[in-house]
Amino acid sequence: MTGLILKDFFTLKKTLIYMVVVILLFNGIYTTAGNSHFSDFFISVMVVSILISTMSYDEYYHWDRYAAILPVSRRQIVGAKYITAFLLFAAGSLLSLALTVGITFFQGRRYSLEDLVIFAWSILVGMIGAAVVLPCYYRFGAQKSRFLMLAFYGIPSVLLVLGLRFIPGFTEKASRLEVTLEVTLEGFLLGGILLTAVALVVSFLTSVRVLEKKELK
Amino acid sequence: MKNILSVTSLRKEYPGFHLDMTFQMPQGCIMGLVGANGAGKSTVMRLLLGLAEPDGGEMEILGCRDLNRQPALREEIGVVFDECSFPETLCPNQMASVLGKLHPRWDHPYFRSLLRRLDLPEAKSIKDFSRGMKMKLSIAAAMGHHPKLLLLDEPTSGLDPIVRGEVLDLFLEFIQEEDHGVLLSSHITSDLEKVADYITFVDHGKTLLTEEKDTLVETYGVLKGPAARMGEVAPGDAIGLTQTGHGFEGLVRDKAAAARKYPDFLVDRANLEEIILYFVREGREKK
Repeated sequence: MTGLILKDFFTLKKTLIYMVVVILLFNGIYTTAGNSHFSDFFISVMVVSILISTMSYDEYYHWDRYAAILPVSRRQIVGAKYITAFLLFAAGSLLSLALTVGITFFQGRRYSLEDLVIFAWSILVGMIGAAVVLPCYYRFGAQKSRFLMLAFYGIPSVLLVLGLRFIPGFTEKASRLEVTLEVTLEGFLLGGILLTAVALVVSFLTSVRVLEKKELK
Repeated sequence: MKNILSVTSLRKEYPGFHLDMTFQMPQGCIMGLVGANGAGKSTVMRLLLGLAEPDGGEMEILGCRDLNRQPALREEIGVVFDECSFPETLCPNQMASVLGKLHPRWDHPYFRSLLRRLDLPEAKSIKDFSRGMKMKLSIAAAMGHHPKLLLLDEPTSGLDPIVRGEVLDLFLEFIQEEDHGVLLSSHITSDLEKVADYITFVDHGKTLLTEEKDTLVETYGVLKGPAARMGEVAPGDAIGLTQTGHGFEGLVRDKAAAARKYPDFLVDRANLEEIILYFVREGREKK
């Protein structure tokens, strides 16, 4: 199974270099400007997007068909993709966190617990995004999964923008909500971790089931 | 002789297509799987590899009935698809590292020797390879873990005649081990004539013919005569009997018997391509 993960990282070699450069750039700019939360969210979007790139490569080269004739089970093929996703999240978030904490420290500011909680939630949301996208890739292909990812991140953003424009008093309500949300996010972080873990397990089992039944052409 | 591959009434239904095939492939031989585009060659390969579920029938590979439930058995099989499945951003060396982690018996020095023999660079990106080079890499990768059975879907397509010769020599060396076997689907009948011991001809999902190649080439013949006397050929004596610009022609299963029965007509040798063409023609006329 390590061979399958290695293949993904060989394929992504150049993309990962871009990822590091982009993280350095975005984190540098936004954290220096005092808004590290945007780059936290950006990392989670970027990792899911890179994950979809590996799926696009697999689809283009019919890699799943080739992998299925190797001495590994389809469960292992799916498992390798989830491990790749996990490693991408781990690498992206550790790099981003180290950079943000470093810049904050050199600016003489304090990286607060709230900052850490929001960072953790950004990564958890990204992982839930991956949990949604992965079974969809095995069922519908990479292209549709890309649209799904856009919907996953795009619909809440669009609703927020529409709310700001058209709902009277939305900004005040949102500010109150933000305060409540910060308390809620902190209080329910453990719940969020559990929810993400459950989403990933359900997602993995669904992906295995889909791939085991799938005819590979 | 023990069969390395056995397919009995293997069935698969798709809209507008029905596959029902039977053939046996003994150990130590190369079987050519021939047929027109869409005849069912790739479908058989997919079923054999467990990439699709059959609707009925039986298949036995290396004595095992269900390849899908025994991933370890796939270590005994090397596969080449009609397209290179390796990500093009990788080079052969990286691909070898990947396959080395997946195949317990991966032999890196042997793989490198195959690359050298097939004149492939180890560190060049696959995206810079020609179609022929990609196919050669797929063949080297399929053999790098010392499998017993090679399942090859159009492995010589896109290769020039010299490289085709080198690749065919590799297959001939491979079957020197008596427990090895090669199932080779191809359109290039001259390749099959060179290396195949058995020919299985598939048309519209059915096995029309499965026989030893030497028997085919030695016993089958083309019966030829003047168009005016075509009616003298008894029904069923000639396959794909048809009128041409020069007279009539049809394939006979036993050229010696045909020569005795029709002494006024000419009976020529039939090569593999002619045998297949007559079978296809017969199939179309029946439709």
